[in-house]
Amino acid sequence: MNIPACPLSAEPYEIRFDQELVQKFAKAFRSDSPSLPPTIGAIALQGAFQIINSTLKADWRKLLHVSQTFEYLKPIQLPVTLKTQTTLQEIKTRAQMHFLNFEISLTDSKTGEPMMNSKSTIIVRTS
Amino acid sequence: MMLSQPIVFNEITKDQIRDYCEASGDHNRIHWDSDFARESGLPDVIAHGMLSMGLLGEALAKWGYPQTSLQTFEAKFKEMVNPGDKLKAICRNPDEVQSSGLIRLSLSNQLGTEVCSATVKLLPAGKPQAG
Repeated sequence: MNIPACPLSAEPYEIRFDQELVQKFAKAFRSDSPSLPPTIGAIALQGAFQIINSTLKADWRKLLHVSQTFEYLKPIQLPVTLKTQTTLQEIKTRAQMHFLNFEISLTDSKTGEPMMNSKSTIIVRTS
Repeated sequence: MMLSQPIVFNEITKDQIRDYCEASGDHNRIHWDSDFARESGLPDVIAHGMLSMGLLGEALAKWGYPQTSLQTFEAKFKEMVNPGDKLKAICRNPDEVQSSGLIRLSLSNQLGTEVCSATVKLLPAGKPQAG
């Protein structure tokens, strides 16, 4: 695995949050609720996966998602397009594991208002 | 439902894990390719940690705390979830939610092993809603 200098930011990209996306999550949760799942921001983890693939070139079999936090800053009214900015804040290495700390901010692509923050800790085993 | 009542989910299936791949865009092969998962030293495909957190989100909604009532939602993934697992969500502090503004959650499997724990901080106005 490559160890880049941190913080390292990925190119921002846009994600559309609409009823179709809500329904896909609801289906996976076997839910009949039409409301917004609190973990819908998981869709934005793709920015972290992109850094893991293209920059770190880590072996996915050695990856473990250990913790996840969402912070809700503004109510999300569907449909809306959110701009996603992913940053690999730091990599700590101990006990044959790399701890990757990702922060993702989601802002309204029209108004620029911060809507949601996401933090993920992902471990890559080195052995 | 009351916070003191556990939420029991249907058995996790491979189809459901595949549906979560579709929803989240996380198509890591350990979630859908049984052969690949076994070559990686796993018994079979495993569920995404985020599926566990999502099910805790479902439990919150059933207890009357939808996304709009939350300020933060923080989860730790503790054990793998496999197809066939039967998961149950409980609130660990039903009597303290009103006074503390925090909901402590636990998701466990049919063996009683905790697979995911989480803490929710409610918005100051976050009162239970019909659900």
